[in-house]
Amino acid sequence: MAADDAGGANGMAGAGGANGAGGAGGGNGIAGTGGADAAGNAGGAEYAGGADGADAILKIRGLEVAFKTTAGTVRAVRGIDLDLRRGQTFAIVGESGSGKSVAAKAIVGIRARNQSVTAGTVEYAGAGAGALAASAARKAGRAGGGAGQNACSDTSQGAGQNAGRAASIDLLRLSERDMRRNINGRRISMIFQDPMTSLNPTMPIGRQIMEPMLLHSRASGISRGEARAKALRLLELAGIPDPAGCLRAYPHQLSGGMRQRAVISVALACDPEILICDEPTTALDVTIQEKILRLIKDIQRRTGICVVYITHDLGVVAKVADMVAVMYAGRIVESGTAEEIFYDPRHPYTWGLLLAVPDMNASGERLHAIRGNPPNLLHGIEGDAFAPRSPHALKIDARRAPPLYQISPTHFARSWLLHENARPPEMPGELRARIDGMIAQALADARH
Amino acid sequence: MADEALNDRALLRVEGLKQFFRAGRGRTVKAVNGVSFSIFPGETFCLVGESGSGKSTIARSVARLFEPSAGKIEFGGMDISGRLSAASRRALRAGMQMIFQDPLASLNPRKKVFDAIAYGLVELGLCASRAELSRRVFGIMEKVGLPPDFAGRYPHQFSGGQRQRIGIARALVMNPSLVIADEAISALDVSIQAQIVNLMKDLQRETGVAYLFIAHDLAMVKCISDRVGVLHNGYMVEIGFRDEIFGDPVHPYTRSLLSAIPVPNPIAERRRIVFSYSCAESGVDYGRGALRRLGGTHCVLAEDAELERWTQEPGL
Ligand SMILES: Nc1ncnc2c1ncn2[C@@H]1O[C@H](COP(=O)(O)OP(=O)(O)OP(=O)(O)O)[C@@H](O)[C@H]1O
Ligand SMILES: Nc1ncnc2c1ncn2[C@@H]1O[C@H](COP(=O)(O)OP(=O)(O)OP(=O)(O)O)[C@@H](O)[C@H]1O
Ligand SMILES: [Mg+2]
Ligand SMILES: [Mg+2]
Repeated sequence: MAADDAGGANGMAGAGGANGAGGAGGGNGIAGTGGADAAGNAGGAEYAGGADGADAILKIRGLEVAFKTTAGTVRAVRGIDLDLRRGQTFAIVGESGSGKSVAAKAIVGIRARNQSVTAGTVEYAGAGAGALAASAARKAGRAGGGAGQNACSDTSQGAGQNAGRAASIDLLRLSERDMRRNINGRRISMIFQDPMTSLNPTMPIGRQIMEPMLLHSRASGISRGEARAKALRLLELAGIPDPAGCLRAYPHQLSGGMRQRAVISVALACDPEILICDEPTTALDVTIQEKILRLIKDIQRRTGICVVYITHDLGVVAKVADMVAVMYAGRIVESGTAEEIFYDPRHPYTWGLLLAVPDMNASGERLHAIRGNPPNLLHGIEGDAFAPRSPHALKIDARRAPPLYQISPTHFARSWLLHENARPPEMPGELRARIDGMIAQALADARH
Repeated sequence: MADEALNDRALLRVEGLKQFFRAGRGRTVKAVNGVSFSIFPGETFCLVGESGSGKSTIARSVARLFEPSAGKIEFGGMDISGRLSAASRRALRAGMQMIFQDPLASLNPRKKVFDAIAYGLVELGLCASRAELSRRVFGIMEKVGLPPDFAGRYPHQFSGGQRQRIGIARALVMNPSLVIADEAISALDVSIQAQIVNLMKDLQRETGVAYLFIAHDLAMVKCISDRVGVLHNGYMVEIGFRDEIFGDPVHPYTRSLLSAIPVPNPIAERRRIVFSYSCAESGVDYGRGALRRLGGTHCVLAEDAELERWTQEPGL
């Protein structure tokens, strides 16, 4: 099983990564991430995604995105580090407005008109990297070598280790045109929160699925007839009862759920290596959601595709994710395996998030909302962005952003509570009880 | 709810609603195929069901964005199913508000947030002065957790969740007696969902507003609903009080729905077995069934033999 393999690899490689990562030199030098704050502290761990990043197809370091608005600059993503691996399912959860969609769009190269900064690196080492790196090097050569850092193969970067490995390229340095032609929709596909933004209202569904296949047809050599047959198969795979009818239908003639399944078919048209699903199933009922999640899992098992879910539904995360990242105010505040995040959460924001989920076992009560509101990203954030809402805040939270603390080879959190001299924090009693109940139930189920 | 006395108190009464669409080549889509339910003042009625089962269509028919193909709709004792007079249109515009599934589509991209929220109040002339308008708009923005400096921005500059809060503010600022919330909170993170749901509950207690709440998140539905209706293929297949539906589901579609609710427990979730159901495989024809009362307010759409079979099956 793909998921199990990925988990195993994490566990093993992660142990090595914990001590080997220091030499790899990730993005922690970027101002605002943990490294700068952490000098001399117990924290300041190097994010290693549970491994040394060797097998990552996408290695994100210090990603920052900001927008200009009439009111000022909105710093939507403030430095995130993330490794994505083949066959792995990653889930990104977190506050509305914390920058999940903005980060995902930066990765696939969708740049807003008022986007003012994109910093960091998004190193892609998938199947298309070699050709892209070669073509970038050719261009650089023609331009007189000025843009030589555009492309780097791991041989030049990795200080001689693993000389035979495939090339990698920083996607943030590619032009929008290169991204559109070679990455977005082809190597990395994205399904959006709102199906209507992915679909063209004036075009029948069938043409929208076939279009990307035909756009890249020079590479794949696919004919119109073959594209049509594949479109039908994709719609059928996505569980659409009348695929031929759907091929001819316009988006407004479909219900929300049908539309989303059509969108999934469009995204899978070119057999991407990474599928980023931004709230793919919020418009679906749970039985169809279950079918779609299973469909994506099946495709993943067959093709080793890496899937990233951005979702608010923590039940879905528990169902599909190997790894989970929790975002707050433009940063990843905690990441780990699904078990680590759901059974052993360490960041007070993660506690609040888990506690806010309506409990199926207790109905009709008031829900647990996290008090206060998220910070306004227009204003500079000093210290820990979550501290003003946290009942566990420390004095230092107001002054300095917490570094990254490593809890296990795969588990990281960004909170001063994890400092060795801080009083060990207690998660809220009610959450403790809920988690204990869940573990007991999981164990009981396993026995049957 | 056949009782006459009860029905007199209903805020909204929908009886035998049918909504058909022509879908080209002489095909007709029977999106809603004879659905009946009532909503009482101050209660939360949830519609759940399969994607494409007709939930949004019911919401839109009730809000009279469509002309119903058949059936009767009464709102506040007023028949709103036929041609609308200017007076009933106005009463409808003020008394019934809708929060849509799709936040971008419902917000005019060229309107600043303030104007989007103020729209209904301005249109119907419901404020005495500009100052009162400001007070109400900024008041509701604060209540739904939107900072005041958002008022001058445009909808595309917000995250999905923020846009949805704008939609909620725009509906609640009208002080309606019925709010139809179609997937209104599904784009929000769970903490803001909790915040908005708590807020909606507070406003309900304060003002007696009723909610027609359409959602796929059944854990949330269980948490906030007074009564629940389950839709499948344009039919209401089961309806009853929350505990009747969640505690003792009878219709196989309801059972399959409840068996698929994911919970934040990775080990349990990975080994979950979902009970699958389709009309074709189980040979159920909704057209032949009738709504049977099981006791209390709990009704299920079934033929005699089906009812017997389903009620004898062991619970979930
Ligand atoms: N074009 C833009 N101009 C200005 N601000 C923007 C723009 N796009 C996004 N933002 C802001 O960036 C922040 C992050 O937005 P993003 O859409 O990534 O949130 P999200 O985490 O995906 O939230 P949600 O869960 O609600 O979808 C928000 O505060 C949003 O208002
Ligand atoms: N304008 C229209 N023209 C033709 N068919 C339509 C139209 N609007 C809706 N339908 C069809 O009516 C059926 C019910 O759609 P509706 O949007 O009400 O479903 P829903 O229950 O809200 O689903 P979801 O949970 O996916 O939002 C679907 O089969 C849909 O394709
Ligand atoms: Mg988003
Ligand atoms: Mg709908």
